[in-house]
Amino acid sequence: MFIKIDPANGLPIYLQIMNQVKTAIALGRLQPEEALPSVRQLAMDLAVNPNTIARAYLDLEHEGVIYKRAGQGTFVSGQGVEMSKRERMKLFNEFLEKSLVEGIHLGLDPAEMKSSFDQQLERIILSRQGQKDRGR
Amino acid sequence: MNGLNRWESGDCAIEVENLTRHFDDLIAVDGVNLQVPRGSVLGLLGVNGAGKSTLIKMLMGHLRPSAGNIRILGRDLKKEQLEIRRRVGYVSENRYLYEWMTVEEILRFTQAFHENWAEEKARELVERFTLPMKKKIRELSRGNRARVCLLLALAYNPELILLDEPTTGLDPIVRRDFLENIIWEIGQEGRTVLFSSHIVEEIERIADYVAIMDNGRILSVSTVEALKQSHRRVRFSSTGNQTELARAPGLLAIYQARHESILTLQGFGEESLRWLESHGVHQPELLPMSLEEIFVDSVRARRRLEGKEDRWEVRYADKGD
Repeated sequence: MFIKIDPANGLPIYLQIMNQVKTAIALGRLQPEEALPSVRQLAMDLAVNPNTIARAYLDLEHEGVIYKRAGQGTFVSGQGVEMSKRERMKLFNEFLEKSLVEGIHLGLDPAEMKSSFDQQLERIILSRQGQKDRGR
Repeated sequence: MNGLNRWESGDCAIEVENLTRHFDDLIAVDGVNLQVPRGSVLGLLGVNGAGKSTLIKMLMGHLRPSAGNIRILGRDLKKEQLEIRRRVGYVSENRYLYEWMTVEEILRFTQAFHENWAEEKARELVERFTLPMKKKIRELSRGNRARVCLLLALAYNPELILLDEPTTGLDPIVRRDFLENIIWEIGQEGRTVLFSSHIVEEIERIADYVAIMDNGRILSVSTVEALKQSHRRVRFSSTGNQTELARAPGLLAIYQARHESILTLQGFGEESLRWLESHGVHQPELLPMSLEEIFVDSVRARRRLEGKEDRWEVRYADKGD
């Protein structure tokens, strides 16, 4: 998994990292129980303050996306996240609402938006499936 | 906005109160107040001539202040300068080194001044930086010169590191390498770093806090994130007249085209939107800002206040306008 951050982007760096880790997991580029780079190593790789990485990792840990094994490092959580289904739906709906508002602002037709949603979802599911099939 | 104020003295690596320095008629540093918490990285952001170097030189004790107090690592700089210097690493803007010495010689030379020199650390750094020990300083590339300076500042494990424009003049590869090395050192517990730069991206990447400096004064101190949260550009089709919009709360800049306006707002929130609504701007597009944009707009707004810059910026105006 490669993380690319854009410091000039309005989104704080730690959030960019969190989003990319989650996306990588969703797309199967990061598998359950897979090891993540250490805070210091990732900080060096991205040329970013270690505190920023630490923060991203901490928040991801709180969300149950990753976990720490004492003395061994940080790993992707096993079976999906520990949050309740309701919490997960709530988070998802927040993101979805943002996207929909954006689409309306852009003057898009709701039918177009819905069609795009379906296409993207299908693409992601296929990609995940592809990763699993390749026996990773 | 001054999030650093909540730290008590014991927790600060640097505390500066009302610091001022004149050079004849020129006020290079003008009543600066600053607190840098231990273990944090503070980026001092400002254009050339903003006073960054002068400030840092005073922190090192190389320049005497015209007024004000400085405490470094909890000690009074005026009274305990020598003791403090043993615990502070410094890379100056000009990277002064003895040109005729070899790398090896300059290491031995500097070591003689520091009882707390850590030989193992120095060796580790020489290896990591892949420095040519037998070469004379004057034969080194810019990048290697900068690395030597950094090594000399780090080899005695200082608690505080002051870097004055450390990557200026370095090519992108060397600059990146330098940054990575600084980041590696930041990883050490409790070490504090203050670095000045006009390369905004670096500050964005590695600073916990950023202090924007212009014309000898500090305009703001906050985390990069807080700055980005509190600043927005709002974009909308031009309707209302310009003079009205000039009164928007927290206004830093107006960008005006024929059919479109962008306002840069500081302290952005619900109130800002309501104000805009009441002045005919409905559901504007909200644009997050990069640190560079915040920096430029903040500095220009300040200069406008002091009468040093023109009114608002007009862009894309037709020749006929």
